[in-house]
Amino acid sequence: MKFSFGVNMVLKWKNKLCWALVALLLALVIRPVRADHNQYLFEQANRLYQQEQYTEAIARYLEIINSGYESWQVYYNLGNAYYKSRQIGRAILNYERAARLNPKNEDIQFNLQIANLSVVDKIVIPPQFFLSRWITTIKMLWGIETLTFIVIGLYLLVAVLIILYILVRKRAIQRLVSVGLIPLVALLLLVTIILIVRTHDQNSVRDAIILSDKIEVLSSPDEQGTELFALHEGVKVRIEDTRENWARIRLPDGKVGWVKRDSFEII
Amino acid sequence: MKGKRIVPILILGIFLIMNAPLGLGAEIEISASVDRTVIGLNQPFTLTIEISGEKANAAGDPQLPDLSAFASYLGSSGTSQNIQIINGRMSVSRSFSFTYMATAIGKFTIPAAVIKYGDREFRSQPINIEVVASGQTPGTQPRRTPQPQPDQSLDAAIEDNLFLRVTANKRRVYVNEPVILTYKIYTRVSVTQFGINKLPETPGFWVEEFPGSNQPATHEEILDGKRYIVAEIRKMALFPTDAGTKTVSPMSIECDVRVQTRRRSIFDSFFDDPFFGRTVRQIVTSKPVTIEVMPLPLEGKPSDFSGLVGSFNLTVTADKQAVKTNEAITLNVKISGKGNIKMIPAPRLELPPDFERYEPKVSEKIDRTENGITGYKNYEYVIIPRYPGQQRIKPVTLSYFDLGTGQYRTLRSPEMLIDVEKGSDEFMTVATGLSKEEIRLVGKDIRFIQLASPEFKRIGHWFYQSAYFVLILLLPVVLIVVAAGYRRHLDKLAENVAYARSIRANQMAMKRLHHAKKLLSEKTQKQFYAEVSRSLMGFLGDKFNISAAGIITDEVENLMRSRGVNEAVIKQYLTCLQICDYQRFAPANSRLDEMQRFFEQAKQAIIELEKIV
Repeated sequence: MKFSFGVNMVLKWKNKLCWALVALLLALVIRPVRADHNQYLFEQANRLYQQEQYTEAIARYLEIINSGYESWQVYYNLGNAYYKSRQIGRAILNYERAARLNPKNEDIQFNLQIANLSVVDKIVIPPQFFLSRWITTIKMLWGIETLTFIVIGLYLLVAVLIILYILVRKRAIQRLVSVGLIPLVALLLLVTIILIVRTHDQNSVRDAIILSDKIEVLSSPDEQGTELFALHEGVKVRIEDTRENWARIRLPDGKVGWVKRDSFEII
Repeated sequence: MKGKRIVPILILGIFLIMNAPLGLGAEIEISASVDRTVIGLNQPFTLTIEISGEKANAAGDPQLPDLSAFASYLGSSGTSQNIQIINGRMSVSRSFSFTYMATAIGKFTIPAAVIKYGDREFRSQPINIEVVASGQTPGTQPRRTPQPQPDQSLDAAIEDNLFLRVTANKRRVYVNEPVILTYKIYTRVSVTQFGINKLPETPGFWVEEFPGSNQPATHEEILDGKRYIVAEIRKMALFPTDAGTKTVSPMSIECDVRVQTRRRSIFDSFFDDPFFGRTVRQIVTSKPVTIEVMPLPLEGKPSDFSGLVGSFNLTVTADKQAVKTNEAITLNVKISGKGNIKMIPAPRLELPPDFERYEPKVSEKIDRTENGITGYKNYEYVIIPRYPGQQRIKPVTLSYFDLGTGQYRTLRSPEMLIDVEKGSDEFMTVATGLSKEEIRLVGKDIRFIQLASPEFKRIGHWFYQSAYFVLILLLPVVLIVVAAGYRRHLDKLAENVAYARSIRANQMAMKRLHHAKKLLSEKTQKQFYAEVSRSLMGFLGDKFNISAAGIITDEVENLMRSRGVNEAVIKQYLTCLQICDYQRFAPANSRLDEMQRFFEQAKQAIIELEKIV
């Protein structure tokens, strides 16, 4: 039996959309089996940490990460374990990684600050223009995953409002929607831009932490280069270029030089 | 023939033995004199015995008078000889100086000195002296005479016998190579006192003055056959600061000269007494000195050359070679040598960046000796390693221009290795470089680990990259399109009766057909056909938006044709309607299967029409 086109279409799609939504929810709720094992490793590592067996704890945390899964808690705890075993460079590296996933977490920031006190080099960062400081603050308000969900939430809210506006012909609701829609869309655009910038940063900007006790930063990517300055474990640098076994680094205060590639690890 | 006499007062107490006897002198003359006639107890005085005359050389040494009653012999303080040839005659004068120390107070007479020549004896006049208690030696201070009027003839006489001579050890030097200038008074007259009138101007030089003593040393020197008493009154090292020909302007000094007028008169003996001589104030001026300063060669000039000229040594020493972190090391950089010590620059000490360094303590010592300016400059650095490991202190270099070889030289201290061990107070290490606020934090520990079970995420997999994300983004778009479509439909329904009827035509027709189906039996034949007819007519009316009641069968054909319905469908539809009318009004028994067939036929007709309209 054939019915009128519009109704027909709606009915046809309703079914498919329902299934898609169900599938999506299932995908979000159901975790791979691996997660259970990681959960177990995580708890075991935490126990070892509490028994001050830091080396063993580190091994467990690393096992989780090497299995291809991450979470800010794992990085944070791993950073703690490294800090306790006096490996400042790796501690900072993992705190930074945790902060990437959860930039606003107070514990991460606090421990990162403590660990940075043990860094020998004191790099004076030239004061930023207030605007760019604000932009950085706003940019780093949330992690990429959180940003994604905020974008989705705002997007769905805007969509719901638009649908309401289309379907419901009540004056009060129409006015409410038309007033609320503009700021919501503006906010959605802003958050989307932040997300795009952050994902771009994630893929193109490479920050690294120096892990060698002490490295000499040379003027050119070969052993004969003039020694410009020395850096010690734990310093955060930006990797600008890599060439064979060498990488061009830039310090926050603008100093640039070449170091061996095995002396640092990218966050 | 050099001897030094110590004169204990500011005055240049030069007692001069004046000219050899003029004219036809005796064969031998002997005279004796003392530098002072009033002597403090335990103070030295000098007795000078002069032998002159044609045969003076031939005569032996004079016999010393015996002064043991009031003085002890300290030694000979020099002899001098002066040979003069005047009018073909040679006259020789020899003088012998002896130093004694007064040992008894009272008035004494120095007996005559005796010299033997052949079988003749020559004697000098005895001298009366007075020895007074120490500290009150009135005679030592010469009586100042009022400013004497310069006497032309006297001046001329003095001019030859008193002059200021300046000598430079070099006339051609490199920039920063020192020239030593020595100013000396040459005198054959008795200068009682002198003062510097005008200092030389030294433009283009940096001057290092040799310390002058208040009591210039004197010695005797023979110049052009004349015996002079010479006193060095000023000595300085000049370091030219740039190249070119430089002139040091003359220096002039003012001397008080005691003039012994020796006139052949009855008063001779009276005026011979030095204390009765006249004092003349005389200004003597040295000649200007011209020095040619050569620029340092450009060739081979080291980049770190800072103008150091001379010869130098560089030593770098550390008090410890192995330390723990945060222990201080004292590093000494000592540059010693000869040359412009004062210009030694602070050495460039290249420390590993971990080292904390403090401002160096600088000490210098400069010796001004006969050979020039020597000395050292020492930089004492306190350095503190902050980081363990073997630390390298790079060589310290110093470049200078070596005057000996005329080339540049670069000194390089050996590289120094310092083993830095990790100190025990590790945390304090960190704290030393921190501000107060940071120290406060150091005392704290890191926060505890997270115990709550985390949610794991695949590394490198982000939700924004997943298909779900795209789906979620698309879903509202689809929903909005659907909603918009539905809205249009609702709007049409509300605004357009014809549209609404047309949309509902199907439903109505089907409803009626459904109803008709219930009447599908032989007993309700008439009702069945009436119902089918109504549904057929109703569907038509709804579709074309006309009242179903007003339609008569004849009009149906025209109506349908005008709407462009094709003939086959019209015919099928009309046939159905005709059958209905026939069955309703001309009752005939129709069988159930016929009715069934008709029902299907009517339904088909409606569906066919639906398709077209």
